[in-house]
Amino acid sequence: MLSRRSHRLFFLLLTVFLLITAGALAQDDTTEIKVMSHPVHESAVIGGAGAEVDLSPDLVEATGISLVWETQPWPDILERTVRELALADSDISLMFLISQQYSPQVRNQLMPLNDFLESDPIENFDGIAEGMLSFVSDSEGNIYGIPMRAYGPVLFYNTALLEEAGIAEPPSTWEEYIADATAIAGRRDDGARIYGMRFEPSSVILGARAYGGGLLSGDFDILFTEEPMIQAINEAAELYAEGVIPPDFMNLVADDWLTLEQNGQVAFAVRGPTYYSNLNDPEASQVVGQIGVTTVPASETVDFDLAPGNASFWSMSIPANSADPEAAWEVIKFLSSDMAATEMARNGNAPTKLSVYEDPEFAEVNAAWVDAAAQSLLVAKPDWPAFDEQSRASDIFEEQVVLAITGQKSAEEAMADAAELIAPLLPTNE
Amino acid sequence: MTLHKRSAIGLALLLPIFLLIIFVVLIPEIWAIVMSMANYRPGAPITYAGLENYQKILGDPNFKDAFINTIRFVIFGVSLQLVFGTGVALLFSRQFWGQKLWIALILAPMAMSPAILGTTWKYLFNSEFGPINFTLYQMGIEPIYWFTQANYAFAALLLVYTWNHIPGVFILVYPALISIPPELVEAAKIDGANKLNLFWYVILPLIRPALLIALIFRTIISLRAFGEILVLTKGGPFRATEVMSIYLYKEGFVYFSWGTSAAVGVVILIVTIVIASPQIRMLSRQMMES
Repeated sequence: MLSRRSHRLFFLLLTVFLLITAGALAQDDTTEIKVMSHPVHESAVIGGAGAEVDLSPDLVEATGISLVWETQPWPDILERTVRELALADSDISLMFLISQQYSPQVRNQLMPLNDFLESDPIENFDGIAEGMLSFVSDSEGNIYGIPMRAYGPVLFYNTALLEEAGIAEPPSTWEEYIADATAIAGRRDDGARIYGMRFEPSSVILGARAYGGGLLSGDFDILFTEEPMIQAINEAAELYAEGVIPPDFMNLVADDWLTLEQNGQVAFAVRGPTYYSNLNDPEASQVVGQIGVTTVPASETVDFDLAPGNASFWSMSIPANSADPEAAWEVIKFLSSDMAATEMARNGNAPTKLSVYEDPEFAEVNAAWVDAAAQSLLVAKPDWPAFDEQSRASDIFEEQVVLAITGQKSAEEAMADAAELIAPLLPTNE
Repeated sequence: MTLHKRSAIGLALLLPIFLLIIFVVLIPEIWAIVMSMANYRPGAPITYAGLENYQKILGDPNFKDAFINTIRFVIFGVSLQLVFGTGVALLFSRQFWGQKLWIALILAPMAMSPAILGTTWKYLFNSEFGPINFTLYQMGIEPIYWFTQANYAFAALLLVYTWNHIPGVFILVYPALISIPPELVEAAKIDGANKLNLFWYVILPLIRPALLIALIFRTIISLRAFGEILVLTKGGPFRATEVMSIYLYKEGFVYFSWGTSAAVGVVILIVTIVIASPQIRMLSRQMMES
């Protein structure tokens, strides 16, 4: 015969057991899938920044799927995704890949999404810019990714530095931009260097585009040996010699630049528009309220107004070795809906659907940059087309650019050498 | 117990280590050799390439530079590690207050990953915010952009690598030093040996086996130096600090040419064997003699 105390203990244990079982059963209704991405995608969905909207409960309610995020910082994410794709089996169901990753080699390891799109379409699929979709498709029309985060870079300027230099307005031509940056560069009273602009070796591509040139044509013809690129490199060499760009510009990474910008040491920076919130973050930035945003102007010598920036965009893809392709598609479909795109935009995500830019609430909250971003997105294009040896070609190009800017070669010589080394890597010459 | 039975037990006890060597060393090495003779890129079919990958890397001027950089890095790096490691061990071989704490501090870099150490040094060398340049600026000296000029970058890398790996030498030399019988040192002193003579004729011969082991280990480890270099310079500027392991990494995980990357790995293995073999032979000879 059990004592009263034993009875109580028995019922207590039974209650705990039933609660645990009920919890487990309740959880069984939710399918968990693993997602590999950069941290920005996670914060776009669960609200690590901006409006802090968490879409996870809506996702679970709509699809019965919850996400387990495996995030990697840039550029580690590139290596990690390629390694994961190469495995025979993977516990990753869904991946976020950046535009330049959609080379034929990587596309071979992704699932074409056409069947999913036909049987279970995405809401307002036509709202996604055609240019982006063509970048993640092959010549036979197979689509391998659904774009979810995109931007054409805008020109940030530090209003306080412009004011100190007696510059009333942001530049309206590329020539003005160079002149303003040169005028502002110098040293602050506390000894800190002030740089005219954020500059990385790849920035010469934007310069060449501002003068009407570029890097490669759509058919992989080399354009970088032509006059606009030579002009852009020579201009950068002058900026380097005059201290407008840092002596160690070739070593500075994105985080170094952000810190310099937040310290108020950079007058102009070409960046994705969502960095507006980073530059105005009171906990990290000393330039809160001093940041203006405009478009990147083209040269006065060309017949267009905006210099086409580097359009990088991220897409959602299902790996061929995906653990759960059907669930992954459900997530893609949910995150591509107009509602999710708008909510993610409120979280600081740069939307791929132009309709989101027209959303009154979104436009009001992001009034500082939304116009410039929408205009930039219309003209932006990726620096490099996607091809198997793109990373190697990009490294060769940047090495030669640095040699020219630091005066170890002439711009013409550097670009001729780059052309000789890059030509055999292009798909047309494989 | 018969001799046969004892041998069987001995072999059985050695079996786990044999299996470990087979699975952790032998099979990956064989797989690397197989991969080095294949066109192997993720997402593309694997095809036999013969010696094509070797021809490719040996014909690449960047690989030749990486090879020379590796040898230069090993010669300077190992020499500095041995000199400073032995110097610190000599310093600590005398009793002084707080000795154990200092030893723990000296050994601390061993417990940290190269990536963390590299990141810390990267901050120290930072041209804008780093304490080194800040101090120079306060002294009226223009900041040094450590990683923009080949010689500065190489020197900075050697400094970091030496600092990080002094404990590797210290941990081998220090026990050898403190196990030298004090009467030998006393006798030499009585015979009129000055400090230099004492070190050269008494201490050095006695710690030579430990130094040889340190030389072998440090050479092998320095040939594979990677973490600090990747974090600090990524092989730049202008590939001036690109050693073979960085070249391997770029081929494998930046350009995703895994066949070429494996070929570089095999070359590193061969170079390591060629460089380390005479040292190991020298050590064996010395041990046999003693």
